[in-house]
Amino acid sequence: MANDKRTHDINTGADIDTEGSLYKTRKRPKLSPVSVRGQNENKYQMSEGCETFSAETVHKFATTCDIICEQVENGFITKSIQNVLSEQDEGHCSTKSIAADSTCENIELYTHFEPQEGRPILNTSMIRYATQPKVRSPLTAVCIQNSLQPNAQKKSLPTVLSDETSFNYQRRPHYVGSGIDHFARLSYEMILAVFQWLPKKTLLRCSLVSKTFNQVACDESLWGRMDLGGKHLNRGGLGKILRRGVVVLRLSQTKISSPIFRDDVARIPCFQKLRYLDLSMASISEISLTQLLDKCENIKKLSLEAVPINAAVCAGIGKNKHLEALNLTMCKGIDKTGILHLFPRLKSLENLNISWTSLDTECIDALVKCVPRSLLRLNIAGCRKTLTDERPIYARTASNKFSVRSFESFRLKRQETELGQQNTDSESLSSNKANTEMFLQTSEVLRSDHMRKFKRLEFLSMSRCYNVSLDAYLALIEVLPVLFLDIFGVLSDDAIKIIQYKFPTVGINKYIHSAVARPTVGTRRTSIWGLRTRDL
Amino acid sequence: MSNMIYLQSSDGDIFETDAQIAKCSGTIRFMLEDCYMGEYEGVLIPLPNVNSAILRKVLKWADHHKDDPVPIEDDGHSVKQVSVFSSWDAEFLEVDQGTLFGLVQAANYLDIQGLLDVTCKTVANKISGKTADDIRNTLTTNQNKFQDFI
Repeated sequence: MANDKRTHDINTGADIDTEGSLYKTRKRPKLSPVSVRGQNENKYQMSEGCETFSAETVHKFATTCDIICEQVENGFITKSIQNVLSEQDEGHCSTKSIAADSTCENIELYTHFEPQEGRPILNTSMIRYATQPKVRSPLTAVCIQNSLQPNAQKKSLPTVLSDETSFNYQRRPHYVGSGIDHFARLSYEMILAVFQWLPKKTLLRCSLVSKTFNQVACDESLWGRMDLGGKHLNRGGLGKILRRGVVVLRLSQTKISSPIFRDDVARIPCFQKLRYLDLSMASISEISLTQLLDKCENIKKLSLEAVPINAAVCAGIGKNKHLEALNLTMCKGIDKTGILHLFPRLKSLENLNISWTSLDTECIDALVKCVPRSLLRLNIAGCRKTLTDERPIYARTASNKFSVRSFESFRLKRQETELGQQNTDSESLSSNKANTEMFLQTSEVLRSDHMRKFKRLEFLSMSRCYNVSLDAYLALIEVLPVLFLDIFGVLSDDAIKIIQYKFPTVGINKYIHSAVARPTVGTRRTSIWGLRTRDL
Repeated sequence: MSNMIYLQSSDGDIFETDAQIAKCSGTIRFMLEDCYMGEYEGVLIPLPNVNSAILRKVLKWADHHKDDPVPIEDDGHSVKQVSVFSSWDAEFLEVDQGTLFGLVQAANYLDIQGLLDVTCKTVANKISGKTADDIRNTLTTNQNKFQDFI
């Protein structure tokens, strides 16, 4: 009888409402040791006793919900949480925020320890809500239940909690409308003005509300920027996204399942809107990539970093005649045919990063022949074996009326002893000014006769181009007033000091990483080429 | 110097206001500068699409924001990012849905970008986090909409 009374005390709404919180309790005619469950399929149901309530689970619970425990004297909730939060005092959880990031909406805490006389197991002063406004979705319900039923009742209990019984509360409040369709007063443009503040997920939900909403939510202006970096796209997903009229699309490290189009490929119109596409380190098959690029004509900047490609992909890239920046760093599968298909129509290509692509000598020759005159910045690092004294190349812009040629025609008459071995890991680029020349160098190009022609070169990186002497660098800077020179891993500190002393205006080793044509540089991880990819 | 002008709501009420405040509205600014050639002391502008209650709210908002810097309109997106949602605005927009949507309409009609932004954002906040059903129940209407539903 005494037990019954206490149960009543703990479970009456009045008792708990005195705490001024939002939750209620309901008498619950069942025994369950501990049940903690939340939304989002985070179900933690413990069948028996504290042993099964593992520390890992408590930790998971603690990181998904937001609840404050105070002075829980009995019951293994305290103990279990203590296992995780080891710095707790013995037997007490003094006001401790278990977690800050709340995704759970329902929490039920049970204990089956019998209360001692005059000593409650759990009550509302022990467990209460985290009511800070910063909590994203504060708990909507906490149920505290003592399991004080006699053993006879225990037998009839189900071992697994069913949904109806374990959920005491409606998760979401019922929304009751006023019956007036306010949106009917708004024009298409005004609904659009509202929708542009919504995240993509909500937009999708809105498109299910009504025909008008569906029409507005599919408006191209709302889908211009998409960031799907690191996500997984199901079959046909990419095609659907592109059909929304995406302009800036970030698919960096995205797993893209083949096929990317569900419909007949021939009937899909070209994606005229797509301008900026970042596929860096995405996992996409070559066939899918070919299909995708076949449908793109207006890409301005493209990154295929570390994506395996082939000649067909190169031809697809080559169709985008407005291409300004192309990042092919670490792409496998570039061959001579690919390069010959890639460049002929790219008349406005300014930034090209083709480093670490294992180009063979044929490729380099082809590259020198085809590389567009508009090119301002070039990165061709990582040609360890092929870019040597025998095959140095450079390219010039059209402004100087020099066509791109291979170095063969400027061949040196005699070899300089201090210059040139294989193992060239070179990178050179010039800054973005109009008519700035670029060239890619090997050690041998340092000969002053030839360097004079690169008067507008502003940035030169020769990091890890070994076997180039200090004298050669000094001679180089003398004839070629570059603004920045990167020579990491080549010269000793003293030698660099000498260069700096002789040419104080030259910035030496200012840039560790190459930014040529790369979409994400520095800390701005969610913008590509300086363009925002996410909503506000 | 202050130029007082008069605005007439659809209900026929006449509001006296400073021209500088009224000029946050693109529509009124256009009327004053183009139709009255800058000599607009004491003119009466009828606003047939705005009722008195809404116009009163709009003028209150405009008065509070009269010293705001004029947004630089180079790119629609950058302007949108700059616009701040102050606590005053939040309090100001704690109104019933009828008024809120009335304000959206008025901001659109009067071409007040700042007010349009905050009101639209408030409506968007009401939408976000709800399911399609909830949106249908709260913001749009009744059972008839279900037939409209695809």
